[in-house]
Amino acid sequence: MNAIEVRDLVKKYKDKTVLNNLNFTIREGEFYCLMGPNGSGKTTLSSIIASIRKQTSGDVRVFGKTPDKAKDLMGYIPQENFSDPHLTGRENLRYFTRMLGYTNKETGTIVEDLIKKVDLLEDADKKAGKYSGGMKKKLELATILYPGIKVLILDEPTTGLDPSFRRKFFGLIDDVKDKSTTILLITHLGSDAELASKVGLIDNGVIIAEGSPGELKNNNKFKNIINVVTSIKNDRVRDILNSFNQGDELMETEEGYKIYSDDSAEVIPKIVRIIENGGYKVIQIGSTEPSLEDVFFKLTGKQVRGVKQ
Amino acid sequence: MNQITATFIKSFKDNINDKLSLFWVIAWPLIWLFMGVFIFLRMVPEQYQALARGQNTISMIAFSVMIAGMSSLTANIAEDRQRGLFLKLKAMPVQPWKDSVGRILAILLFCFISMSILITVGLILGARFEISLLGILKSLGFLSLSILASSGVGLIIGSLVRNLQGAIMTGVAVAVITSAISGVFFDYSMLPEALRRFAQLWPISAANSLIQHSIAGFTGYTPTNLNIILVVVISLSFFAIGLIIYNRFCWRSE
Repeated sequence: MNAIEVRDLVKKYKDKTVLNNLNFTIREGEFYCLMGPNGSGKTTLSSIIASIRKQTSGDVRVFGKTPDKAKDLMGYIPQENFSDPHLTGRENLRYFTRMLGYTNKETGTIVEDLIKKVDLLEDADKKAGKYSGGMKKKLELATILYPGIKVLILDEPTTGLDPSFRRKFFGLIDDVKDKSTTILLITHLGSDAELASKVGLIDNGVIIAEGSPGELKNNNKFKNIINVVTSIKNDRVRDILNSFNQGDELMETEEGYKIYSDDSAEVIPKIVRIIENGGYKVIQIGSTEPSLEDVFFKLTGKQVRGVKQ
Repeated sequence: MNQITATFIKSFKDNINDKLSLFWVIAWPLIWLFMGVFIFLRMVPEQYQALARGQNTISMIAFSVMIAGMSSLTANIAEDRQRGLFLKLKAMPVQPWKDSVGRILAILLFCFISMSILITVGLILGARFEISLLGILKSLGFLSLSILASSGVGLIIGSLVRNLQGAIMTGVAVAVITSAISGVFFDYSMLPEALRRFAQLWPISAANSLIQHSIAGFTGYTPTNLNIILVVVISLSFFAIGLIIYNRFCWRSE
């Protein structure tokens, strides 16, 4: 059964088209990730599905219902830390539980269960304002784990968290969710998107590619990405490196460059030699498998995290 | 009912946990109560001292109510919006009117606590009132209108001013300035003619005068039925406009 169906979706703000005739389907129980850079329309799309915004045209269905009729089936975590810093973790959960219509008696049982689920028992009576970023995320995760919630919509839930906690966060979701729970994750982080069963790459309000992380990477014809950090970055170094690049365009990162290659073992020594012959130094060089962020770059010529090309 | 209760509890705890809110709603009027007794009312003849102190107490209650609505409620809404709570609530099956009612009830309780403290301290400092059942009922009615008007202004500022500090400062500024120019801090008779008209129209100062007339026996002017009608209409208008703007700017889907 389809959990979410989006058909011919258009969202315009005055003259600007943010979502442009968008179509996709998420099946029940699927972990679907929408990955794209800032301004690609992914947050607008998730907020339309979550019934926060209205579309200009097109149709969105959540288990066959319009989003405003399916609010009780969805749990939404926005980008911001929305928990109340003046209240304790337990008081925050009591607030959200009662806002969902549970009675005072039911609330007590449900809140204790949620606190245990997200492993906040020791800190439940501390004010949320004193929580670390990770603890706040756990608390906010608890606000979408109520009985009857079938779709979790997570808008950049791990932004600002360190990589080790990001893994733990998704591990926690995997532990506490039912098998039939559908997850829609919005992110610009390739490492988060790798965890999904299906990824949609979104750019300028259009889904440009869709598939499992493996499928998306296999469709990328290059086997390796060589990361090079040189003593300086200039046009000459760029030209040298570009001569080894088998991709359409050399990718520049904050630290250095990324080169697409079929045979890194053969190419790396050549790069080092030619760079050093040119009077520059190679500070760091190594090869990795292409990430989803690399796939996005290959398809759009843009970096997901917004680093200049 | 659960949503009203949940919002009421959350908002009330937010208010009493907010030191700035406690200062402006309770401490600041208390300071003025003491200043009134020990500085400003010293020249009042002995036989009028008790009623003058009663008047001063009522004025500080009016100010407290005004600042609770215009600053505490404002801060509450602005902070919730800044941290994305409304995005979260819009995605939940929550009815906006229940959220509004919960917030207003929390302000009512906050005002009631502040009023109780100010009356107790006022009585200890020698304030006296001309108590009658009708006078008390009228006063409670006018005080309620004051709270509604202040809450209306608070809803408007909290909905329109997006920045938290900006919203708080705007609320405090509106409350302090309008108090100063409408005879809440000073005697009505000290106001110039133009400001006297404003004092009779601004719902908080007008309600303040009506309460003083009902239980402190004296005010700068004798309120007419027109004054009473204007206070009712203007207070309810501010409240209604506040609710509409709150619903439009904090709750409506874009």
